[in-house]
Amino acid sequence: MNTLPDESTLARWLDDELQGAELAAFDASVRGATDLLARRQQVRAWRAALAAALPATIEPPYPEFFNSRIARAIRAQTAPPRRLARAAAWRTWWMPASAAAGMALAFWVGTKAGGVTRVVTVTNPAPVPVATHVPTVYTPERGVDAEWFSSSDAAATVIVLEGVEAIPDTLDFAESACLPGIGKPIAAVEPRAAGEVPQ
Amino acid sequence: MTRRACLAVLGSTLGLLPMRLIGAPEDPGKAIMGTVTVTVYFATDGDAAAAGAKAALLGKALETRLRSEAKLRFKHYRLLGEDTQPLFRSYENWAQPLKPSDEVLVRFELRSRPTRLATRLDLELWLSRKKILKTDVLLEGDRPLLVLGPEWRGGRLIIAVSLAAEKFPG
Repeated sequence: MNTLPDESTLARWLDDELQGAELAAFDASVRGATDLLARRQQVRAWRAALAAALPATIEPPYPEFFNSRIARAIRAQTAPPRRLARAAAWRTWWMPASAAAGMALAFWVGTKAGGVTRVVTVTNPAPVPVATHVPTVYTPERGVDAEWFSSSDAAATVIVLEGVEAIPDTLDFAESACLPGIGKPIAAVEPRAAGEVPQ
Repeated sequence: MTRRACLAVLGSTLGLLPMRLIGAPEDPGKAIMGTVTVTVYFATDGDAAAAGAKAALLGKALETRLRSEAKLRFKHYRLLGEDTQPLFRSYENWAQPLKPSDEVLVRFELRSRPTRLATRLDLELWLSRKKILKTDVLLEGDRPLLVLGPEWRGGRLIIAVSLAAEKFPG
């Protein structure tokens, strides 16, 4: 048979919170347990010391501010449902629109921002299909910069590298220049006048 | 090893060989989806002879095409080298246009399924064994990528990457 009191009942007994039959039963169970009685006496002494040192009640700082916030919270909870419904309807209409506008703005900022890539718009009004694709250009070497643009005159995507270390003049590419098969480089196109639509 | 054991090993080897040749499944990633040509030009406002006596002249129309773009406008152009390599479905490939030198290398691989009109590539330009440029470029049949590259002998190298559009799968 377990004769030990459970901890929660013991804590309440030490704090003098047990009442009535529960208190009587517990007192009967700890009768003769001098250590428990001594501990309860010690807790009572601490409680009395604390009560003597601290005031019974303390006014909160800035009570007007404190009370006004409580009152505002109560008013918000008891606001008429019609007003809430109107606010929800407003959000239903405007939140998607504002989200779409935010996405468009973020996309526009993204196309303008970039550490190593600068986009140059060629001022030729000729429609160029590839211009719709904006390539990502990355230069891992420090000091190297890359600028890309779509050239309608040369009918090509052009990337200009700056800051690249020069190839030593002592290097000779004479062997590659005479390899068989050379002579079919990129196709030549007839130059177009400004504004002429490429065929 | 006895003579009978030797014959058994030889027989089993010869028997498996045709099966391996006929029945081995081909890697679909090695399917050729097109052809990429990388060409290196030397462009200079100085002495074109610096490219070497063997550097080829360009056709008039091609010179005009390059010169039509202000950033690529030089007095003289020469052809230094060219390399054509297959474009695999899911493997990268390298072009070495200045063979036997590896001073200029271009690594490329498909970024998406090519169409008859255009192909999107992941492309890297390596100079002096260092990766200088990485890009995802959209190439069309007659619309190459032209990279104005490093200086050399008083001029600049122009690296052109183009596609053989007629070889695109349907």
